[in-house]
Amino acid sequence: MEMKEMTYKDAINLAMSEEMRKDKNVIFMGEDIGLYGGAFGVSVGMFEEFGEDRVKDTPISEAVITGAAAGAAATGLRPICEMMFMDFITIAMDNLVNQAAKMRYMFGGKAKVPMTLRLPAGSGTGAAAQHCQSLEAWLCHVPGLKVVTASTPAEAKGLLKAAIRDDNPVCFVEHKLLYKMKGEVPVDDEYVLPLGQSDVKKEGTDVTIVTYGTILHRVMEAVEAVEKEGISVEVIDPRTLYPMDTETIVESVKKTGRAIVVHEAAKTGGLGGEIAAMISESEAFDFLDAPVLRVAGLDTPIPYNRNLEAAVAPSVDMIKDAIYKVMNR
Amino acid sequence: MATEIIMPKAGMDMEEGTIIKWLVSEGDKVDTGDPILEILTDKVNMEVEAETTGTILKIAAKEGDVLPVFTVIGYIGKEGEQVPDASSSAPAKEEKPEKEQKQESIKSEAMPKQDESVDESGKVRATPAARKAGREKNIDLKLVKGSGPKGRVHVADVESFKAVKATPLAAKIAEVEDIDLSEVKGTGFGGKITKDDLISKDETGKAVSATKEEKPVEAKERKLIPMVGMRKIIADRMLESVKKAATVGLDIEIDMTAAIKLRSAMKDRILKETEKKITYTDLIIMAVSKALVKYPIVNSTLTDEGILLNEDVNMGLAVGLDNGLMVPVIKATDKMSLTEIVQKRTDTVTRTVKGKIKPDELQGSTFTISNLGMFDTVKFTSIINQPNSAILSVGAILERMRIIDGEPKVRSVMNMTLTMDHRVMDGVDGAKFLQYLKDLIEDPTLMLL
Repeated sequence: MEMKEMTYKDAINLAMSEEMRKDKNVIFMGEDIGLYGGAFGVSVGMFEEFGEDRVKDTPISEAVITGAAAGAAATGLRPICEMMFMDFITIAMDNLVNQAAKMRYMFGGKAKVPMTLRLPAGSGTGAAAQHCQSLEAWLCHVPGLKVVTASTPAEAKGLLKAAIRDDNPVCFVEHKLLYKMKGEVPVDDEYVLPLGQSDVKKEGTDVTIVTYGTILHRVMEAVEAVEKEGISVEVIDPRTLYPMDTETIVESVKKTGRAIVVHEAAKTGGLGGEIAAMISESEAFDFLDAPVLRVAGLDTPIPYNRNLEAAVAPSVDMIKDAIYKVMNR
Repeated sequence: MATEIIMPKAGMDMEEGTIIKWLVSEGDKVDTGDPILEILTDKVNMEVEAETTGTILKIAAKEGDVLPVFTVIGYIGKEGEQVPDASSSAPAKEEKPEKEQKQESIKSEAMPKQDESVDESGKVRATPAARKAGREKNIDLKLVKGSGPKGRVHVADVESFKAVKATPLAAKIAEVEDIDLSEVKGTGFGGKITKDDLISKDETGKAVSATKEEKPVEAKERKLIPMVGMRKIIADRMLESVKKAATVGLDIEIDMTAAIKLRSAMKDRILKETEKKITYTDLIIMAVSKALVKYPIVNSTLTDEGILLNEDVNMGLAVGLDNGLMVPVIKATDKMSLTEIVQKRTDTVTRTVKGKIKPDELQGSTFTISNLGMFDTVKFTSIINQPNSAILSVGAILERMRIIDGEPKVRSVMNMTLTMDHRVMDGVDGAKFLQYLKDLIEDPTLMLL
């Protein structure tokens, strides 16, 4: 497969552009995504290539963006929307939760809602409490929405293309710290990764860690450190958070007997609890040899102070400590 | 809520039971499954296990008490918990447990268990994987030292645990006698330590007592076999029977030529059909059943009202065990074909030897056969298995010189002795029964009639 090194952000741009070239029904809208190229510069060049009919700047109203997208999707287009920050879905929730997520179901499958909502999420950029949240658990709680997240540039391309091609509303969570991450990305414009499939990022025998997004890279760092001490860790990235490929996780935990879920989102009500509960309800229960641990964000708004901000999210040391704990070391 | 300890109903027609011995005292902590007392039913003695985990709050019946089934005989619950219907002496007694418990916990330090890993309710702190491993390996996790926080037992602890598996009785004996079970080699199922294994332990010098059938003495040491368990039951019931019945013994010699021929003719066929081997016992069961139908007085039970002629023939079969004797019952043998008898007898005896026989199957006999022929015993008498009225003792088949039609001939013969209760029947009844039985065995075609 021909590969090209590019950033996560460029991989997203490429995924959108390829789909827009391929299918004229695919349109893109959001705040400042046109000439300005988006708050994080993700859509640079797209306005020039596709014009203002297909790359539309919207008013500063997230409700308008999701409402218009849901309507456009139901009537034949395949809109991609960008929320400037994931935090702003709070305003878009009615259109997203009560309309977009419900239409296909309530119309007995006669209406499709093929819209994709791109959601820049997470802390680490010093953007303070209203621009740093990881609200994916909210979305996973709404049947009718799919929730996807990519932790590498290649996956960003492959999964976003799958999201755009999906006939359901898909929330695509992009961690802001990943935008500048570089990686090899397949050039093939048919490189599409299936939704609903976990990816085993690393195989191991002693502990299973389920994680996604930017934190996955901290997990890999921690895992590399403990491997030197003889602890073998399997790392699973669910990639599609809802509906999640639980089988891969369950099989892994049956093998290792220990599980940790790591995410940046606040611990209480976060996906970690869901995954831990899923594991203990599953066949893996009998194989558990330690409590399932969650390493997650503190239950606090994200602080503006850089040091405090860093302290809120799971660190490499916190992840290592959790590994030692389940290993009784 | 305190849980009641009741006199269990251990068999369908069990109506009352005797408390032989309490294995616990008030204030003792017990776990689900711990033996707490021994009772005597009309058939066997058995251990009653704790149905729940907790403290013995009250013992409401004395050793030797004979009580109807389901009678509440004690309570298990949380320490200090009030017992329903507690007698006035109860409060004073309840102060005692605490002291006793302290002593208990000091004693239990000798056991390889870490107290912290067992919480107040008696549950073990262990991971699901450790529990699974424990289940699979049949290891009581309470005995495993946990390496995790607060003594939590992990799967590695279970795997490295040197399994000490013991029957509840053996464990009790070991506890009383202060024996380290980890040094005892188990000979029971899956290496389980049985009380018999504690005897060999005894030979190494430690004072141990356990029930065991006497063996020709090689060991110079004198062993004391306590009269407990099955031994005690056998003793009581044999003595009771001897005191009760007015026994008479009748011997007969049977020419086995035809029976031997019949057995060898049937052997392969029955083996093919049932995968079971036909024995002389099977032929004898069949013949005796027919004879009992013809002479129902021999198949009777003496009751307070009179002599009850039993309609079915329920055949008791004396089965010798390593440490005693049991008489499982095969019901309605008079209605069975030979194949059915072979199957039923094989199954029943096998399960009896393995200790898998149910209390229900140990009762309801109307007649009993005891066959010691396989041990070359030529002739013997038995004690009547109450409430039967007679028992047949079967000896070995031997080649003997006999005069047939004025000529000396070698014949295979077998002795049978009928021990009968003269209160119920007379010598002539027994003799006629034996004669007919002899006819049936010497000419098995008569059984077709």
